[in-house]
Amino acid sequence: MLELREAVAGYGDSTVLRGVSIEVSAGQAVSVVGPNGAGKTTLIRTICGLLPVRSGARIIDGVDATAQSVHAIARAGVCHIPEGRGVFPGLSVRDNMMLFAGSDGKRTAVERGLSAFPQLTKHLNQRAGSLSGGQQQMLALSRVVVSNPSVVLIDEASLGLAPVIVDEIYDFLGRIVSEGIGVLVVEQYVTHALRFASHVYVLQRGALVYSGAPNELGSQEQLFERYLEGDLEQSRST
Amino acid sequence: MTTDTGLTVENLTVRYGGHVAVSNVSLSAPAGSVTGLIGPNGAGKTTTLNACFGVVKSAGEQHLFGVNMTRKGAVGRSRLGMTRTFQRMRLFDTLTVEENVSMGREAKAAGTTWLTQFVSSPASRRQCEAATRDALNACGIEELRDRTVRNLSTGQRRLVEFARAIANEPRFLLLDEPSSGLDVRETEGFGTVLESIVRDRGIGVLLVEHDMSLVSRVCRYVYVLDFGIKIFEGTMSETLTSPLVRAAYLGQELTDVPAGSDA
Amino acid sequence: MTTFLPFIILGLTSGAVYGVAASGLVLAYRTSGVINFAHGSTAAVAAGIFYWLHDEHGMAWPFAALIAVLGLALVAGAVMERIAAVLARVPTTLSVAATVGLSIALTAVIVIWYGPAPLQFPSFLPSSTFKLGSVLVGYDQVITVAIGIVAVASMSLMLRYSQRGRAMRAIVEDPELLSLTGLSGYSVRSLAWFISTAFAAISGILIAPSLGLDGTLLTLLVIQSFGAAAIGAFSNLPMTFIGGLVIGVLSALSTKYSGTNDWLQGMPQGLPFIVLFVMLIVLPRRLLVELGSAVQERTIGRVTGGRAARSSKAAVAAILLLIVPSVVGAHLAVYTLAAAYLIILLSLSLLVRTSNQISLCHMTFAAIGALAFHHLTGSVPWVLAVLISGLIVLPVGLLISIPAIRLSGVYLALATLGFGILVEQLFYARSFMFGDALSLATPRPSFASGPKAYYYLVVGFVVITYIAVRAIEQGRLGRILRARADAPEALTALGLNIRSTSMIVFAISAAMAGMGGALIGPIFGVIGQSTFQTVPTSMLLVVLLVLGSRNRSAGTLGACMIAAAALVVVPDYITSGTLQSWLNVLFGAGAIEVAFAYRGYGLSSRIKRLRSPGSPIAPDQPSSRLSVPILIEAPK
Ligand SMILES: Nc1ncnc2c1ncn2[C@@H]1O[C@H](COP(=O)(O)OP(=O)(O)OP(=O)(O)O)[C@@H](O)[C@H]1O
Ligand SMILES: Nc1ncnc2c1ncn2[C@@H]1O[C@H](COP(=O)(O)OP(=O)(O)OP(=O)(O)O)[C@@H](O)[C@H]1O
Ligand SMILES: [Mg+2]
Ligand SMILES: [Mg+2]
Repeated sequence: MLELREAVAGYGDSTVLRGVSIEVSAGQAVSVVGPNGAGKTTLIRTICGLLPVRSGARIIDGVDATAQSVHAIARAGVCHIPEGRGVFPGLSVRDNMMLFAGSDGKRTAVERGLSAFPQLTKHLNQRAGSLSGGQQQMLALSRVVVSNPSVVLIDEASLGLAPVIVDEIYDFLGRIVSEGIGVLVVEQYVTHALRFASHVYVLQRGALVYSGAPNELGSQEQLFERYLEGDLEQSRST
Repeated sequence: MTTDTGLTVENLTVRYGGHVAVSNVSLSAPAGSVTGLIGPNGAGKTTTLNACFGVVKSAGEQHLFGVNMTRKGAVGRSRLGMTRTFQRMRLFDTLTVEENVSMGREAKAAGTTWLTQFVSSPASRRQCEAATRDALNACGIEELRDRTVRNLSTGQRRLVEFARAIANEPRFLLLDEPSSGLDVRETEGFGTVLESIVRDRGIGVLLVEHDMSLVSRVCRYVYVLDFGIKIFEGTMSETLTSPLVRAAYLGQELTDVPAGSDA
Repeated sequence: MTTFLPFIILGLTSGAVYGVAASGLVLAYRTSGVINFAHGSTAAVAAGIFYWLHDEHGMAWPFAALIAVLGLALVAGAVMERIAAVLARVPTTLSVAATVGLSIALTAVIVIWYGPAPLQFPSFLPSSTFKLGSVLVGYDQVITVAIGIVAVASMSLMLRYSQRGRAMRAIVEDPELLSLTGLSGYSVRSLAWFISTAFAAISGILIAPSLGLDGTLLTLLVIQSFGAAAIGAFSNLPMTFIGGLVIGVLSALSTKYSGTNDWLQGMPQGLPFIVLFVMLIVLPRRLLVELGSAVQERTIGRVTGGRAARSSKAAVAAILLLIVPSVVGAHLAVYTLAAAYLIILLSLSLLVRTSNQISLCHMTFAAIGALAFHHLTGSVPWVLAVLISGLIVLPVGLLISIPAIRLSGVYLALATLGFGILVEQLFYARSFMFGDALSLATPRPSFASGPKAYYYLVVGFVVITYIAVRAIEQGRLGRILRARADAPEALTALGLNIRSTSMIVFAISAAMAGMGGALIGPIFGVIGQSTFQTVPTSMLLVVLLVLGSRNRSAGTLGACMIAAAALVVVPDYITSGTLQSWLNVLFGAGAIEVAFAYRGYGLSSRIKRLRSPGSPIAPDQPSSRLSVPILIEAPK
C-alpha cells in the first residue's frame, strides 16, 4: 500500500534519515518508536512528501511516487496528522472539518467529524485557535474520519490529551484498522504504541534498529534496554 | 487565608461570550510544594492559569502571598514574584539557549522603568550570570548553551523554557503541561529537577499536566476540574482512587499508578 | 440637503472605487499575510495599459478594459503568487520592504513609459445623466458603483462559503497543512492574487479619468484604500467596501468646505490616513492579529565574525569618511547630505534591524527636527540648537509609540505611513511648519562655515550616533528588543513591561532622526517643503536599508552607508532622468531579491545551483533552518 525504500532525507546540509525502509499495508497497525531526535518526525514528513526523498523510493499502491508533490500524495489517500499543529487556527471548527474533507465529502464532513469527537459539538463555531490544546488535537485527529484516507500517519497521537481520551483514541484507531485502513503512529508512550501495533519499527539516529512484531521486541530485552531504557520502566510498571 | 499560603484563588469565573470556561473555582497552592491541577481536555485548566496571570478577564479574587493581585495586569503579577510557562511554548527562537535563559533574569531586572530597561549595572549583570548558570545546571542543559533554540528538539525546548522560568527566580511558578513532548526518560528527569527546585528554594508550584506518572510523583495535593467546575480535590492517593476522577479523567488505564511522594 | 447631494454622489462614486481597490488589498492579505504596498502601482499600470490600447490605439473601451484587467491579472497572479509564497515566510520587515520596493519600481516603470508629466486621461464611460430628485446623476457614476457592489459582494460570498474561499483563508495560516489536505497551494494563492490584481486594475481604470495618468498620484490614491481596509479591520470585505464609501463621501464633503474653511486645508487628501491612523489605534487588538505570523520567521540570526573583523571594517569606514572631501571635489555637498542621512538611517536601523519594527515616517521626524532647528538657530548656540531639535522630536516619537505598543509588523508600518502622510498633508502648509515660505534659513555655525568644515562636523555627529546605536544594540535594550521580536508575551510573563521598551526605542530613534534632519538644512543654508519628500523618501529609506543589510558581513554601519550612498550619492552622478527611474526599478527588484535570499532562493544561490544541479528550487519546501541568512546584526 505505502512503502519507503532505502530512503535518505534531511534538512539543508544535514542528513537525518540514512536509508530507512518501511511499509504500511491496508488494515495494518504500525508504530514507530525511538528516543527524542531519532528522526521519527522526519520519517513521517518524508513519507508524505513534505521532505524530498534524496535517494531511495516512495511507492504508493505499487506505483512509484518518489517525485510526487505533497497534495498529490494526499489525494492518493495518505493522511498525515502533523505533530502538535494540525488545525487552521483562524478558521472555525466547522470550516476546518469542511476543508479536511476535500471537495467530495464536504456535506457530511461535520457530521462524521462530530461522530468521532462529540466533545467538539459545542464548539463548532468557535475559532479553532481558541480551543484548548487537547480539543485542537481532537480536531486535528478528526481529519482521519473526515477525509476518507487509505493510510493514516499520526505524529505524536496522544500529545496533550487526557488519559481517558487517549484510551478512546486508540480504541478508535483500532476500529479504523479493522475497516481496512493502514495506520502508522509515532508515540512517546511506548506502552500504548506496543499494545496497538502489529508491527513495530524502532528508529535510532536515523536508522532502523528493529522491525518486527511487538512481542518479539519484548523478548529482545537487551536491545530494548539499549535504546529505550526509560520507556522500559514505564512498560513494566503498567 | 493566611500569608504563607502561596497562591489562593477564590470563586474564579471566566466567561468567553456565552461559554463559561471556569465556574466558581477556588483553590490554594502553598509555597514549598507542587499542587496539581488536572482534568479532561477543555476543562478550563489553561484558562485558570491565564486568569491567575491576569491575561483573561475573570471574576473572583486572587492573592499571592497575601497580596491581593486581582486588579493587577500580567506584568504587575509577575513582579510580585510569579512566572509561568506556556502550553504552546513561547521561546526566543533566534537567540541561543544561554541568552534565552539569561533573559529570564534580565527581563525581571529590566522591569518597568526606563532607566533599568536601558542600561544594566555591573551588579545586576553578575546576578543574571549567576542565575543563568544555576538554571542551566539545574536543568542539565549546559552543553546546549550555544545552540540556537529553534534547532532543538521539542524536549530540549521544554527544558529551556523551564530553565528560563527558574532563572527568573520566582516565588511562585505556574506550569502548563511542561512534559508534553518529552519522552519518558526526559519526563523523569524533569520531575527530579522540579522536586529539587521546590525543596531547595521553597517556591510554590501549580502544575497542569496530563502525564499522570509525573503528577503522581511530584504533587502533594490535586484539584480536578471538569467542564469548568471543580469536581474533586484531595491528596494524590485519594485522587487516584476516586471513582469520580477515574470516570471523568483517568479512564481504566492508569488505575495502578504507584502513589507518589505524598505518601 | 440639495447642496450636499452632489457631493455625496461624487463621494459615493470615488468611494466605490476605493472600496474595490481596498477589497482587493484585503483579499490578498487574507490569503498571504502580505499587505501589498504595490497595489496602487498595479492600478496605475492597468490604467497605463488601458490608455495605450484605448486612447493610443483606438480599441473600444470594453475590450481595452477587459484586456487590461485580465491580462494584468493573469501575469500578476502568476508572478505575485511566487513572490507572496516567499514573503509569507520572511520577517515583516523584509516583506514590507519588498512590496514597497515593488511599488517604487512599478511607479518608475510608468514614468519611463509615459514620462514624468501627467497625461490627460479621457473619460470613457457613457457620460449622459439623469435626474435623481433634484440632482443630476451620471450613468458613469451608477455603473461605477454597481461594478463595485457586484465585485465585492461576489467575492465575500465566495470567501465565506466556498471551498476555495475556505482554502484561501486557511493557506495563510499553514500552507503545509493545506497541501496535506490535498489542495495545491499554488492554485489557491494564484487565484487570490489574480482576483486581487483584477480589483486593483478595475479601480485604476475607473479612477484614472478624474486624476489623469500620473503614476505617483494614482499610486498614492489607491494606497488611500488603506483607510477603507482599516474600517474593515483588514479582514471583512463588505465592511471594507462600506469603509471605501464612507471615506469617499467624507473626502467629497471636506472638499466642499476646505475652500472656505482654513482649518480643513489638506483634509480631503489627508482624510483616509486620519481614518487609517485612528482605526489602528481604536480597533480592539484581537481584530488586528497579524495574519500568517505563525509561519513567519520572526527575526533573524546573528552575524559571524569576531572583534578583529569588526574593527577592520570600522577602520575602512572611518578612512572612507575622512578622505571624501579630498577626492569628490564639487560633489562635497552631496556627501555631506549622505552623512546626514546616515544619521537618520542609523536611527532607523535601531527599529528595522534590531527589533523587526518598521517606521515609514522617519523623514517626518527629520523634517520636524529641521524645522525646530530653523526656529532655534540664532537664539541658542548652534550645537545646542541641533541637540534641542532632537529633544523636540522625542515626544513625536513617543506619540508614534502609542500604535507601536499595540501593533506589530505590518500594522505598525501602516500606522507610521498614515502618520507621515497626515503630517505632510495637514500641517506642512500651516504657518507653524513650512507655511507659504519657500525657504527658511538654516545657517551653518560660525566655527564650521566652509563646506569642508561642515562636512567634518556632520561626520562627527555620525560617529557619536553610531557609538550610541552600537551601545544600545549591544546592551540590555538591544537584547530585550531582539527577544521581544520573537516572543513578547514571554517577556511580560517574566516581569518586563514591554510598553516602556517600545516608548524608549521610538523616542530615541525619533530624536536621532530629528538631529539628522536638523543637520540637513545647513548644507544648503535653507530648507523648504521640497527638502523633505517625506513619504517617498521614508519608504526608500526602509527599502535601501534592507538592501544594504543583504550582505550580513556589512554590519550596521556598512548597511547604513550603502543605503545612504544609494539614496543620494549615486543619483547625483546620474544626470539622465530615465536612468534615475531605472535606478528605482533596480532598488525595488533588489528589495524583493533580498527576501528571496533570506529564504535561500536568492540570485547567488540560484547561480550556484545552476553550476551544480541536483536540488530543485521549490519555495513551498521549508529551507533549512540552519542556513538562514542574516539581516540583523547582533553583538557576540
Ligand atoms: N528543520 C530542521 N533543520 C535542521 N535539523 C532539524 C530540523 N528538524 C529536526 N532537525 C534535526 O533532525 C533530527 C531528527 O529530528 P526529528 O524531529 O525527526 O526527531 P523526532 O524523532 O521526531 O524527535 P521528537 O521525539 O523530539 O519529536 C534531530 O536531531 C533534529 O535536531
Ligand atoms: N477565546 C476563547 N473563546 C471561546 N472559548 C474558549 C476560548 N478559549 C478557551 N475556550 C474554551 O474554554 C474551555 C477551557 O479551555 P482551556 O484551554 O482552559 O482547557 P484546558 O483545561 O487547558 O484543556 P487542555 O487540557 O486540552 O489544554 C474550552 O472548552 C475552550 O474551548
Ligand atoms: Mg517528532
Ligand atoms: Mg490547556
